[in-house]
Amino acid sequence: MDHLLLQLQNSPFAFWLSQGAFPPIITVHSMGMAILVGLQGIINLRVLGIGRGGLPIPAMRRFMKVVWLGFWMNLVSGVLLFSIYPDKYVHNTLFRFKLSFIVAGLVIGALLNTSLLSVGDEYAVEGPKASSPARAKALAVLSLACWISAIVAGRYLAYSTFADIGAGAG
Amino acid sequence: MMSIVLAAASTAASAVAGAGGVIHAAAGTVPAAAAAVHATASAAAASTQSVAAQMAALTAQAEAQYKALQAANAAAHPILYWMKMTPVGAWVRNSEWAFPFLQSWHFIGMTMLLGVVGAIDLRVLGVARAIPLAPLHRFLPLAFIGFGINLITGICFFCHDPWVYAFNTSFRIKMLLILLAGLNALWFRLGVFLDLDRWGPGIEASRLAKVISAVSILIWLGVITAGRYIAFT
Repeated sequence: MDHLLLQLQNSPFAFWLSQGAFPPIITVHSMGMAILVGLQGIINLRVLGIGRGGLPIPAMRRFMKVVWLGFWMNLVSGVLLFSIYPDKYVHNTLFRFKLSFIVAGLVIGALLNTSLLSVGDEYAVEGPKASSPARAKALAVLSLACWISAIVAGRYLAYSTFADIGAGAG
Repeated sequence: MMSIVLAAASTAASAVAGAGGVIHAAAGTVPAAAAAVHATASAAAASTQSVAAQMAALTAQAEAQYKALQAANAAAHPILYWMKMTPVGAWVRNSEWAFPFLQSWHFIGMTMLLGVVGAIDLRVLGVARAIPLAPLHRFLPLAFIGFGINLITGICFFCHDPWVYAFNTSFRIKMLLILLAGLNALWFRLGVFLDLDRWGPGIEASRLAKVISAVSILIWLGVITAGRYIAFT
């Protein structure tokens, strides 16, 4: 495994990436993050009751396709970033935390989206019914927690050094 | 550095040559030869000392030049100097985890700001047209909170070393783009805000609103790009 990663890190492709492709790729990664977490966050907040007056939940769900656009941007850019310095990430606990938060965030997002399918148009109007089911609210809180944690883990990951990781490969 | 080493080598060589002369002159008497060896050792020690003294002098000179440069910078830009000397600046400079901590908040603030602004802009452009615009626009305070978080954390970054940012082209472009984004938002407020109530579920926004929203998305993506390039400029 480590041998393969070392080969990847020493490949001409990784060299090309590290030479000048890093800034544009990290930029795309930030844009994808803003799109994914920003729009998922708006959906979550609506489910939690912020701005609920007259804002139909079924209509808010239409933003999910843009959320997925952000996800694919970040999956592709993330794989490219990983291939530049695999040994910075592969043994890094923060990286594992970040990936765990992302996977959890995706699963919870999908569950939330499914549970909102049963939410009819009556939730669009003001009044007691405008508030979403308790299950959806719990999922929305968890989703926010996962994505914020993923961002924080990612930021601390950028500042973790090779020495902290203990791998010493390469 | 190299010249210092070469100078040290030539000094040592001449000291040895001098001592060799002493040995030659005193040939025949053992105590005199021993004294000559002693002289060689002291000459070498003296030359080591002089190299150390030379290096110390050069270091002091470099330090003095650096301090003079710092003083000149401080005199030329007193506001930047004052910002650097604030407790906030000192904290970000000296704390190991201040940067990732502040950056976490900067990214969360960015997500709040771009999430709300992006959602409104996308709806205006026709994505998720089933959303009525007026209630969606009520998320706007969240964007202002995000902007506030980023203004505060951004000032913290700036204070850690104002010279890094003030003369950085990417940073200047980023500030200009944020100003343009603000003016663009003002255009939205003055130009189409009163029409928002009419753009209910499924109703298309006006061409003017679409132009403003498209410009808004482009500017904010530009802000992200310029922000990321600060570190590479």
